[in-house]
Amino acid sequence: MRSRFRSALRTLAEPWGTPGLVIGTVGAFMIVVGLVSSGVMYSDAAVNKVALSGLDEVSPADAGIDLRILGVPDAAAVKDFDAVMRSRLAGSPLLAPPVLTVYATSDRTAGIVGEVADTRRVRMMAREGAFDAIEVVDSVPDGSGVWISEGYASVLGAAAGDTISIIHPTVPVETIISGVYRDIFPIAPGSYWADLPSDLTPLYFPQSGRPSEEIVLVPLSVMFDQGPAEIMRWQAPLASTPSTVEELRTVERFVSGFDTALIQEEGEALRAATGRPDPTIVSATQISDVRAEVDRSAARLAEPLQTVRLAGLALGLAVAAAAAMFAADHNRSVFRLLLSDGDSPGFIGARTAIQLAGPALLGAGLGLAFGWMLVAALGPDGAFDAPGLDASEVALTVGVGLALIAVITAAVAVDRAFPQPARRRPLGADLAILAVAALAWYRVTTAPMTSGSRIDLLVVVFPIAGLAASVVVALRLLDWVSRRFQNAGSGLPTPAFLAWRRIASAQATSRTLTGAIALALGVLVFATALVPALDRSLETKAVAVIGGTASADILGSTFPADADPATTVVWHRSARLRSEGVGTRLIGIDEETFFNGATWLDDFGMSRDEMIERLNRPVEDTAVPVLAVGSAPSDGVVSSQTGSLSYQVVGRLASFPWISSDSPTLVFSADRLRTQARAIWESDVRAEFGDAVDLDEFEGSWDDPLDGFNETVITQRSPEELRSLLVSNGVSDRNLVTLAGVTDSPEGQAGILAFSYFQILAGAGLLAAVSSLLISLSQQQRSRRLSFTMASRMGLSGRQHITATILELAGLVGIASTVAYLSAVTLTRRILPQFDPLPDVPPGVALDGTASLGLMLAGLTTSIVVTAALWTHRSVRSTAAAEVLRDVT
Amino acid sequence: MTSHDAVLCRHLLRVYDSPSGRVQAVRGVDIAVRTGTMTAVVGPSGSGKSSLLRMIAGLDRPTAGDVLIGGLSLSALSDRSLRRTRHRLVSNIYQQPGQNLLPGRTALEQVERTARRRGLGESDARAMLELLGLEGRLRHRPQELSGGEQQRVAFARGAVGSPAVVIADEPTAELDSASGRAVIDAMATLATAGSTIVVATHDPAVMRAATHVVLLRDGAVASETGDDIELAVIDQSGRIQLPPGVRSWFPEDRALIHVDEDNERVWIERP
Repeated sequence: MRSRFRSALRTLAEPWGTPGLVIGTVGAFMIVVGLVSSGVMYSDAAVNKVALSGLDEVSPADAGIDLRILGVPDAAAVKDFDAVMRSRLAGSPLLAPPVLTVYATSDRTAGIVGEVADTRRVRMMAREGAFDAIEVVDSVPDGSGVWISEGYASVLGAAAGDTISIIHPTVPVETIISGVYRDIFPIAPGSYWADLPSDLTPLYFPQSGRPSEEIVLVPLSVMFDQGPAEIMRWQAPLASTPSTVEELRTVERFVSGFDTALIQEEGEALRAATGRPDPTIVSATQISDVRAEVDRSAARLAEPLQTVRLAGLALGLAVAAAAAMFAADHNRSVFRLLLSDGDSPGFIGARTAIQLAGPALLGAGLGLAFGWMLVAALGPDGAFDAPGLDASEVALTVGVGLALIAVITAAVAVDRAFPQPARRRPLGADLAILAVAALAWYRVTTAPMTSGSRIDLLVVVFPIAGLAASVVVALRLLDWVSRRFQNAGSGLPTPAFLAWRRIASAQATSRTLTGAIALALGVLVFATALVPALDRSLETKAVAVIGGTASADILGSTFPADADPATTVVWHRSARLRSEGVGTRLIGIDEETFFNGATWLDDFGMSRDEMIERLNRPVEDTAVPVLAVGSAPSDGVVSSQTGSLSYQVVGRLASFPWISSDSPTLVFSADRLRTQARAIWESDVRAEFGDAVDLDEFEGSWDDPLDGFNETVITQRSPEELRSLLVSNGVSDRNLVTLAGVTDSPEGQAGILAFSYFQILAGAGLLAAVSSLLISLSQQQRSRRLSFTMASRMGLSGRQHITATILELAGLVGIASTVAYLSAVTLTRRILPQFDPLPDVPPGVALDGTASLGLMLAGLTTSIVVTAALWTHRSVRSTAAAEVLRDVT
Repeated sequence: MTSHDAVLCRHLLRVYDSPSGRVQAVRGVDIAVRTGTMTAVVGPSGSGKSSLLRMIAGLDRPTAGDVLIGGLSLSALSDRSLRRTRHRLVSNIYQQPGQNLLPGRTALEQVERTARRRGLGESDARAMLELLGLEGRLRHRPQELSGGEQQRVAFARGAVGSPAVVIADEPTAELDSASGRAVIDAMATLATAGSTIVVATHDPAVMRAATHVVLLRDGAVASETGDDIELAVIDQSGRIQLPPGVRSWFPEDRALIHVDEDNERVWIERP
């Protein structure tokens, strides 16, 4: 028994005596687990980046606990409720300290006693911490009254110490103005007031410049002395914005659970304490809506990312299979011994897998770190779980990898132990690859481009299958050329002749590695060409949709185009071509401010100066010069409900800022249109009333031609700044959209994220392939030493040997690079329109920079070849000739 | 096959597919190896020695023909039964000494592993090593043994438990002459002790030590030498191959055949 145990230990220890095998296995499992874990972490980061991007627009107060309690009886009940709630929330790291707000309904007006009351509504509000967040302008020692804003004091003509009358239908209040504070509107983003409940935030700032509702601050201690408070808001904002979907779900579970428990229990307690049927408690948190939206975004990314993970898993398993072949090669003498002794291939497979379990686990540990580094360096900038996988998933990956080693070892053990004379490569595997490539090609060429689920398994497989098919065909061609011209080249210089003979007689392993390098380089070229093209296209299209960094439609008022140095206004409306009835959009720009707010890209089809120059070109007197975008027809007349417009096309653009689709669009200068319309109006008036007519008398009949147009504000500022800008200009907005909202959308990011991961796969694949090439070269040392020694005796110099080795490797790797580059660029061109992130928005996605990519690939190939050749020459030369010759004689 | 034959090959044929077409590595080989003999299989490279030995060892199946080991036909066996037979009746020794031993194990452990598989114990393993003069190297691992010692340990491992045949493929090819001599002595010792050894070799010393020599040429047996006589081989079509050197006596590729039916004799001469 003891000797058997010892024997088992010796069996387990066998591989550790062979550093090459241990290093190979550790490296292979590092790549396997690295790829699988990077797939998980990459998906995690991608979902967190894209799905949570919308969280920035939700305030922590709206997403946290937000209770609205109607019918608050008295200060004591509020205090009791607040105390109970705080005790229940105590210690939660998810939520920030709560804020209590008590306020009245807005059915009151106010005025200084004896004066006429302002007709606008006022709200009395007591808010915890409010007095620490205001800047006091004026105050009196008596703090039992109310506090009004500086602007409101000006409207009322009041000062601290005056008596204010707050008029309520049932409970009028007269109290002292204890103080005047600096206006809090417009609210600064991120300030204390940014979390003010939405029903207290005024939406309208009429022409007076004052908000539609004034807030009158009252200390909580005296709130109930000033009449019924009626509404209480108990808010516990999120302590921090969740950085992962999982964090968001945790917060949502906590907040929702808290709300449910509270509404059921505390509501009853509150009602019982007051003896009244009210108050009623309503949860106003938006956390569930936010989570639902995040889930929807995550679901839209799920398929492409799942496919990406599968690709990582497939490459990982391919590396494990390569490791198995390597182990089988390394162990072939032991296999021969075991098979000769009557052991079965299955036993040998299991034995190998068990022996390699130790190095595999070591590699798995390094693989987690490798995967993390890959995602941190090359992945999306969303947060991700650092370990990426839990222990059971790592164990499963290692288990599957070892099982694969067992199966492959069992399958190849006999062939490796007793090599047969070379056979023709079977066609089966090649035909299968060509069939998958054909199927994927069919899917890509027939799939609808505008479908929401354009990225499915076959579409993602297409580049890999297409590249693999090219590699298969190239290898077959190389086989044929090698056989056909194996003995040719006798007239070549010695290094070239030696290189060709080695290429022509290259073993199957060398050719397979050449194929693997071609595939890895091809995927690298594909991803490196495709991802920037998609990224650039998405940015261009986002600018085309938004116009600047943010834009907002204006409701019911006018925003002055020159109100801000980083903002402009465009006027737009729909119209129809009078002759053809085709729907057309008209966009008017303010030439002076347009480029302050709008982003102009060369991809739009002309320079900004040329655009302005064309919009001011002389045209027929009755027409307006326009730039046509998309399929807008040439000169004609468009009609709308408010009139018609003759236009003359002075140029065509591929796209334009703030154009949300590829429908026909005409762009004009607002000034030019006004001038044109004014001239026509003056001409009409003079024609009717004579040249001496005083036009001012008829000014009332002049209609601004832009009156029927809608206005949109485009800015280079942040969304918060734009909102503040609109509020301060008394303008309310609708449909505020941002550049990031488009670029970070799941639809836009799906293709980019999916194929960005291919860069990680290609990087890992290239690492594996080049490592395999070096290992393969090291395994050929014996024959290379013999060849070099014999050739040296026949006069081959060291320089000639290096040249021959470089030419040989350059031949194989050069073939790989050429096949990779040509196939990848061709496939990228074919598949690019399929992944147009916003196919309805011009301009179309374009591929450029392929030449520089080719140069980069040439550089990479040269460095691989020269490094491998020098290393090979050095190790071959280091062996004494006598030693080599003794081996073979 | 007689009861004295450890190995009998009948009309063995082995054809491989290669990129340049089909290759007949072994063509109609018929040989019999008697128990307790040392038979050398010789011939130039590519003559089919290794292919023949692999089929005898049950590591490869013939395209046609049959191999009998200890009277057991290998053709009829399933893969599983063939493995069992291999484990029980056949041992293999390869050319490179390092490839005949498991790494990390002592000489005694190497032999003991096989002994246990054949139902024996440590003492049998020890006795076999002592028989081959390795009593001082029992606790040595492969890297601590010379090439010749490694090969002798390999023979001890192969012969322990009295398999039907020990097959060796050029066991002295990578050894210096002194080590080679020691290995040849070990083979002779084992044959004397009753083991049957079939050895493929280019080494004249091995040929001299062998009790029988089978000469292969182009996949066929050209001649057999043993018991102080040299036999030419008649193939299934009735063809006979001339011994090396004699071929040049017939420059016109023609010979007169004389048949003496009464005395069952055939001879040829130049026309």
